Amino acid sequence: MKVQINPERCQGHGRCYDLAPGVFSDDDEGYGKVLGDGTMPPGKEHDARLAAANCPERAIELLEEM
Amino acid sequence: MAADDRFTQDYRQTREDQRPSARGKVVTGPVSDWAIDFSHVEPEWAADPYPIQDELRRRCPIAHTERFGGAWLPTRYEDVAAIAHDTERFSSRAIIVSNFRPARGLAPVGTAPPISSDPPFHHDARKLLLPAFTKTTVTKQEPAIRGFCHALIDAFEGRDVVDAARDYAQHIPARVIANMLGFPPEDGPQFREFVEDLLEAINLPPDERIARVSRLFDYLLAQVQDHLGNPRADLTTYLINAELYGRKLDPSHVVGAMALLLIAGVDTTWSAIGASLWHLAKTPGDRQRLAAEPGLLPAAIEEFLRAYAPVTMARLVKRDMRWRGADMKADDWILLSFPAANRDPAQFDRAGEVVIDREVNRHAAFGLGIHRCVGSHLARMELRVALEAWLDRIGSFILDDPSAVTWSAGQIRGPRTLPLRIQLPPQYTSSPTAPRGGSRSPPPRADQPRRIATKTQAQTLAIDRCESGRLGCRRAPRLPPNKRQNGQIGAASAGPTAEARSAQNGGYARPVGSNSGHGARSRALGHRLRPPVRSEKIAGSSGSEPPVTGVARPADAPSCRPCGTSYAPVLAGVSSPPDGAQARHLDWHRPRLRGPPHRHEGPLSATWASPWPGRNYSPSHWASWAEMRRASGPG
Repeated sequence: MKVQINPERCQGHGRCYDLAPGVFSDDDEGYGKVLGDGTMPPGKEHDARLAAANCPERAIELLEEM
Repeated sequence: MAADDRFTQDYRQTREDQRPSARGKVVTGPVSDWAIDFSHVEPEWAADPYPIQDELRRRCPIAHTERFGGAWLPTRYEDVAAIAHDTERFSSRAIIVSNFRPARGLAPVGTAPPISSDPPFHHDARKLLLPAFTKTTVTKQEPAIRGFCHALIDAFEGRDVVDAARDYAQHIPARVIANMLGFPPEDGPQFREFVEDLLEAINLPPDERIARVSRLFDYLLAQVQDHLGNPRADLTTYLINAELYGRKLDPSHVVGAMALLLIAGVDTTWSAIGASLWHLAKTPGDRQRLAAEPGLLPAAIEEFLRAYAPVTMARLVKRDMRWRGADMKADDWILLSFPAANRDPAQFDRAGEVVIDREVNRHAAFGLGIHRCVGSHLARMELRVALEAWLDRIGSFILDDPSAVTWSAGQIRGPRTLPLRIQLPPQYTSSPTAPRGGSRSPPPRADQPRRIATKTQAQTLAIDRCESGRLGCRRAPRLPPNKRQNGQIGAASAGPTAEARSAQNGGYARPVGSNSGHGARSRALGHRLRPPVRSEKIAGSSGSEPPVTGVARPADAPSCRPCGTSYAPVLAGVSSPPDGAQARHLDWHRPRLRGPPHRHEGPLSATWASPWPGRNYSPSHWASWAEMRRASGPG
């Protein structure tokens, strides 16, 4: 699974890096950014889904690998 | 710096053409039908708005009133979200519903940028503030705020009943924002008056309302003068020196942004802390569960924010239109109720209940869209620290008299009187030297003697909790408050001088009303807003440029992290764009900086256009960095 943040939607609520600090971080203006290339090891998938489910702007996109 | 003549004359005298205009007549008194005559300032709404909102959501769902010159109240989440995201049809030129309409010429800046600003100006005004309010930045204040919370609780000594709104919740955000803006900490009680003038007294006659609001701006202008004579590293000095589009901010922008930070920083967080304590006081099950499972606190806080969202915003309809069945007229208000959106059953399961372990909670307490509360990370941190300190120290608390609780009326809702009967777990009221570690005391009972522990007892309690782990304390054993504050502040802020550290203590750690050393505090760094700096001469500054003194280059700013390429030196007062690769790097780095340079119709038209036409970014970040370096000083 890969995760990415849609910068058009992200408003810097910060729920992603609150809930999944190993997956997301904040930039110098508080907007969310994905750590690394966004590929989720199996252990992080739950965190990524939790963050996506709590983003008020629905800015987190989960790309499931077929 | 040359004398700053922006503030030598009261800028308000030059803005007579921008006075607000009255619309409609002031209507007060009981509401006949909430669907067609709602009023958010009537006592019934203040006491409990949720049943009203729930009924409206089922009945209309966009209510209307002729009060306030015409206003609409959407109650469904999807409508609130749509309006919050639609800056084309809804303006933020004013965000407090009243019987006036601010002059249209105020757009796109508004009276309190960026909350009162519309795009595209909004984006640049907001960028000036964002770096000071990131989670990373505000976290540095946490130890000092925790120390202040404990000092407030220390002052409860010997009392059975305390007012958690007036004696606790109110003081925390007031002290935090006074510290960030560099205002005297003892001015906190005045802030409360400003809040009431601005947010609650909206039905006063025009002259009286203007006179009341003027008191706030008189105070802020006095603070500006103080900072001009005595600049220091706080947000006021930062705003005074900040630049947008190659020149310093208008005085109205400086003071308006200060007003925003003061008002929005105080009232809202105070309400959130108070409402959370109110809920826990009346819900023993949740209180006991949080004591047993402190790891739930973050989720519980989000749920308190959802269920008791303090903030309702407003918008003005830009032009006549029919919107989702409502015939809206230009300059009608939209009362943008995030609390109503947060209780929409179409968006939330068990929307009317408080579920402290709710896992999916996409609430809108801090707004949605481009006006997301700039202080949300600060507010969340304050709320968490205030609740942790309270739950650490006060074993049990209940409403002393539910009928004595009062709530603010208007757009910010929270308890303003909250008498709580407090007690510590019984073993500490009977013996200050209770056995530590491994003790398993029964949970406190309501019929136990009601006493708050002395300071020593409270410390014993805290240590016992941490060592025993019975309550799952995540922290190491606690130090006495004086050591705790010093140690934590020192550890948290690597940069400030000893003077700054002691000033930080002065800014927070004294109980309210004590004689604080304002002079020393205000001269020193209240907190670190700036990125770490290296003391070095800026590379590449040519001999033809005036020598740059007191300017250090931010260590982490000018190189592109992914590729490592350094940007050209960023000089204070830079007036030309970076070229070629550097510009592309900037764009890569800051994807939010987009859109063509904008020319705007309005009061700023002469200076609005980007100084760098054709570039696909805004210049404001250059000003921000320049200001940061200048304020950081050498080393």
